[in-house]
Amino acid sequence: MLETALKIRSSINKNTSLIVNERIDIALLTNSAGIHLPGNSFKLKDVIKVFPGKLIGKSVHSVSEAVKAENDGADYLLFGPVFRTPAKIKYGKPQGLKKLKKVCDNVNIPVYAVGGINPMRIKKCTAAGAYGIAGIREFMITGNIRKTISIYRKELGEL
Amino acid sequence: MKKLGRLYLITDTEIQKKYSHYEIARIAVKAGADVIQLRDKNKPSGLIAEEAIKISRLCKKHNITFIINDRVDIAMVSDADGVHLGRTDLPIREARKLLGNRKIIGGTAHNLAEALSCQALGADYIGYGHIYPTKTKFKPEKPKGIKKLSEIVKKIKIPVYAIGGIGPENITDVMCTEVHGAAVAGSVLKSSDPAKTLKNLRKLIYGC
Repeated sequence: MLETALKIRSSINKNTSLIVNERIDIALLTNSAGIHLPGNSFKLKDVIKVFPGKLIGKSVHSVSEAVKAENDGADYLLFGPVFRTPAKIKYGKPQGLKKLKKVCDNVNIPVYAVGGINPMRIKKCTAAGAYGIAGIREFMITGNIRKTISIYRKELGEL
Repeated sequence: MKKLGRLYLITDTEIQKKYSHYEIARIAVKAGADVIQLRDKNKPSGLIAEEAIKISRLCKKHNITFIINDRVDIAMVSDADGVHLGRTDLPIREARKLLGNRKIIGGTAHNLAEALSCQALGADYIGYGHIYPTKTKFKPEKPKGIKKLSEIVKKIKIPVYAIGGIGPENITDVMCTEVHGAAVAGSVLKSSDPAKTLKNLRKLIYGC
């Protein structure tokens, strides 16, 4: 994992933040911007002590989790799945835009919408208060990540 | 101070399901283990860290050395005394950058070349094995045996722990090689009375 992270770190430009999934050690050794805590990961209070000055993101699935994460010191949140997505079907129905809005209304840190995002849905997410969007499959299935990203950026109003 | 006593117990919740890591640690503290290593390659990080934080507190209270297998991040979060790095984990040098000189870093070696390399890279101790046949971990190679262990011990300056298939029936042979200590898991955790087995091992190691 360290090798992969180092490779990514050296190939991205300075404007892109590299976030490592939960591995504080790998994030520090690669001088990455921060870590992301998925469900079942470390508690924020335990991480903050050993990871000062770096970004800590957290996945949340409800308003109460979101508020708690903000109070515990998270720098940003990932909320989802907003829409239906194959990877998360096993967890039941998607959360929907209304819940996304409720989460965004109740916290002051950036919220990224995740789960089943496509270009047509981006404006709906930002209208609900999302700061940005996140995805895995959505970026991979088109076969042209560069093009996909520029379409997404356009929808986010950044191009 | 880096404290490395001779009786080293690895908590393993794969080879037995009766005790959690924390429960094993409690038994180990009472029965007199010198070093406890938490080894868990499967559970979500949050759950491992939760137990690690509890065990770390317990070990500090009883002045026992607490080591985390493989995960430098969990060692940092739980303020453990150090990490043990296998052959595929983070390199020793990288771990040292994160943990500094006050923390313990152990390395695994299966032969003299690996042992010398761990020593040269700044490991504080080496786990060498497996000495005897063991079912705790799958081992494609043959057991090393006592003779090879003696050779390693003679050539390595940092403490060496013998590991693999060690129990009350053979620990005296192991310690006769002048190895620093022995790491145990299966012989203790799968015995009918782990505390009693540990105490017995302790007697056999320290000879009193």
